[in-house]
Formats: sequence, structure tokens, C-alpha cells
Amino acid sequence: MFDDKELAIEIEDLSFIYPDGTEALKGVSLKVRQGESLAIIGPNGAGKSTLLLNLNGLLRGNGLIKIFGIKINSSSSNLKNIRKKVGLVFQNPDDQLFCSTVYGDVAFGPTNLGLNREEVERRVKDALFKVEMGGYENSNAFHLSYGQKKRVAIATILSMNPDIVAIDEPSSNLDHNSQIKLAKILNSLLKTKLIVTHDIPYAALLCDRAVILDNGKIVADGLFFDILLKFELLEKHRLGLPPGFSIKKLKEDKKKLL
Amino acid sequence: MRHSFLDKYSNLNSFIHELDPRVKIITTLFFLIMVMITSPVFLWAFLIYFLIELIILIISKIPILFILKRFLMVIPFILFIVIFAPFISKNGYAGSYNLGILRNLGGGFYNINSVLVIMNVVLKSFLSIIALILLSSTSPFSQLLLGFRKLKVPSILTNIASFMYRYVFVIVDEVQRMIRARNARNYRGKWIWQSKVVGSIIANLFLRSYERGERVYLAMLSRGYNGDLILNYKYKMRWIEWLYLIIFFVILTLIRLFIG
Repeated sequence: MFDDKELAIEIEDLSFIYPDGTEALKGVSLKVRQGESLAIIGPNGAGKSTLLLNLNGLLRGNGLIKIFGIKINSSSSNLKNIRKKVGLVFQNPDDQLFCSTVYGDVAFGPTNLGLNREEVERRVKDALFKVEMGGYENSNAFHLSYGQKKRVAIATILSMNPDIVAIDEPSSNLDHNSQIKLAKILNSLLKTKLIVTHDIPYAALLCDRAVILDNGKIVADGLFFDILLKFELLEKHRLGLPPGFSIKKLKEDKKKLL
Repeated sequence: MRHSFLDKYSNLNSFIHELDPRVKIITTLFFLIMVMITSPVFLWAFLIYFLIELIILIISKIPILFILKRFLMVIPFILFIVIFAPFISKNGYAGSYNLGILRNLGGGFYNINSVLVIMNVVLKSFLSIIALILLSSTSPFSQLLLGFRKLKVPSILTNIASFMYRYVFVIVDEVQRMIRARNARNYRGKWIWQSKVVGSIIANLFLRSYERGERVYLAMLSRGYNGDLILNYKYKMRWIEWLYLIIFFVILTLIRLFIG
């Protein structure tokens, strides 16, 4: 399908069972090219977040995962390397932001990478600038608005300069303006992006390709606008489109973002 | 939702605020030890201790009312001491108790020993609490923790305090939301039923915090966590810090030598 050298992520027959017996992933295979924006859409409980946690070795399922050709194994040097390449942004920014200041959170990753202080400071400044949160270094994350928290959470990953950015439910709990602002920021990132969500119109703004994950399996893979036309497929996997949705309007909005 | 900061006045601008937190930690600790080992009969020494605090308070521009309000929280403890003071025996030393209180009743409820114990507790807790409030209100909490870290306090302790500071508000918010949701459904009834509801709120909170802890840990791991929350420490020991430290030590030692 693609030239293997270009692959950012290669997953083959990945399955994962939680300790309580829940089968979250049942043989997922997926290839993502470098620089691609891929939406992983699926209903609640489909295994989307589990898949994300497998991508940088936080959870270890059965199967093969390669990041830029490097196989994930459980040696700590390998995991360090993988986690440098794959940045995960969790759904709830309160989980992602655990330091007493914004600076601390954004500096956490690069400091763990062993960078020197000037470099860490430069990266923090850069990352906060990219998400339009410059000047908030000394704020306590608790006192930010939800949209601001979400953007800082993304900055905590950008400061590590990963090649792949994987974001869980970027649009959840955000008002319209914050969603648009976030979409602009995400679209301006020239990285391989994985957007995991059940907010289909929003994912379509950000991604050209989509896969549908349901019940631990990938049931569709293709161009986003093609998938949007398959109403029956979407309905079957509990993924209806919002009332009043029109692809024409979506295409216009997407043009505006670029 | 709004909560008051733990370190509400820590972002003011003053000489004290600009000092290296390490200096403030060491002087506060020294001050506390000196207050503790001063006998309660040396009232002049306590007056001078209080004056020192007052000077620092005025330099650091923290409202006095704020400190007095914070002091209210130790009153329950003092109250307990006052209640049990009559049991302190007349001719023993502080800390020995006399259960024959009824025999003493004729000669007055409190004897000289119990008055000394009460004075001891009230004066020392008052001075100590003010010292601690001054410490926590003159440096941002994160920098204070780093100061402790630089003074070789184990990272596990400072990390725990850091997480506490970060998540206490989140947890308070969660409790408030749960209580609101409970009240919105016409919460009333016998106390036995009420206590059951309170119990399940507490259990719920515990589970949520536990799960949040796991998620936070995952978020830390995915950014390469390896044991320490290292942040930028803004302060350096300048000559003014050393001077402050020395003056502080000299004054307190002199008080101890000549008055205490």
C-alpha cells in the first residue's frame, strides 16, 4: 500500500485484554505515513484510548507496533526513545497538567529528556507561543479556563518535539470558538497527527483520512469524505452525523482553516 | 469555582518576597526552634520575637487581618489545652497531671502551673503559626518546594506536596459538584440515611482520586518521568541573603543569651 520507509506508525495484529478480562483490541492493523493526519473515530468504549496508550508503550498488548521502523519492546532505553517520538495528549487536561505552574508542566518533558536549562527554557517558550499561551508560565493550571488548559496540555507535548502527536478527544468540553482556535493550532503543526474522537465533523476539519474503530476492530479505512458518505456504515457503528450536517459546509470551513 | 490560594500573597513585591526561599526556610526553622526552647516565663523574649515577626510582616506588606484569620485555625487546639489545664498538678512540673481535681477546687480552678502551660501553648502557637504563614505567603508555593528540594529534602516528600497543591482544588471542586448534585435531588431524610450518602460520596471521591492518580502517572510516564519533578529555580544566594541570614541568627542568639 505504501512505501515502508515513509511509515510513521505500523501496527500489525494488535490485541489487548485488560486485567478484568475486557477485550479492548482484537487484532488491529494500521499503517500511518509520515506527515499524515489520521482520525480514529469510533463510539464510546470502542478501544480508541487503549490503542493510543499502546502507541508509546504505556500499555503492552500482543502484536507488533513499529514507530519509524523501531519495534516497541519493554527495555527502558527503547521506551524512552519511543516516548520521545510519540507525544500523547490525554483527554482530561487535569491529568496532563500535574505541576504547580504551567512552566513546570511544559518543562517536564524536555527536562526528562536531559536537555540543558537554556534549551528547556527556549522550548517552553516556543511551545507556549505555538498554542497562543505565551505569558502564562507562572499561572497555576487550575486557574485556567478549560480551553486554555487543553492548549497547555498540547504544549507539554510540543516542548518534547515529537514526530507524532496523538490527541485523545481534542474537542470535548470546548465551546465553538475554542474548538476553532484549537483546530487552527493543530492544523499548523507539521507533524504526523492522530486524532482520536467521536466528534466526526471536528475530526473531518483536521484530518484527510479516517479509520473507524468499533469493538476493538478497524471496520473502515479511507478518505474522510468518502467515509462521511457511507451513512449506513456510520449508523451501524453508532456514529451518526449531527442533525443539519452538510459536507459542503464542512468543506468550506476546512478551507477557511487553511 | 473560586478557592482561596494557599499562598495568596506570595506574588507581592517586597524585599522579603525577593529573598531566596532557602533563606526563609532556614530562618523560619531556626526561629521556630528558638521559640520552642524559650521558657514561658520570659515574656520579654516573646515580645521581641513578636516584634521581629511584625517587622517582617510590615516589610512584606501582607495584611495583618489575613494572618489573624489564619491564626483562628489553631484555636480549637488551644481550647483543648485550656479545658484540660485544671488537671495539671500544682507542684509538679509542666506535663504532669493530677486527677484529684475535685480536691483542688476550693483553692481555685487553675493553679500557677496550669497557667504557665496555657501561656506556653498560646504564645508559642501564636508565634509559630505567624512564622509559618509568613514563610508560605512570601514565596510562591512551587518555588518554596524547590527551596526544600535544594536543601536536600527527599524528592518524594516535595513531590507529594506539589501534587497536593495541584490537586486539592480539583478535589474540592469534585466534592462541591457531588454535593450540589445531591442537593439538587431534594436530599433530606434521617441522619442514618444521610450518613450513608456521605459515606458513598467519600468512597466515590477516593475511587476517582485513585483513578486520576493512575492517569496522571501515565501522563508522566509518557513524557519520560524518571523520579524527580525538576523545575526552574529562580533564586541565587546573593550577598544580601547571607547578610539577612547572619543578622537573623545573631539577633535570635542574643535574645536567647540575654533574655531567655
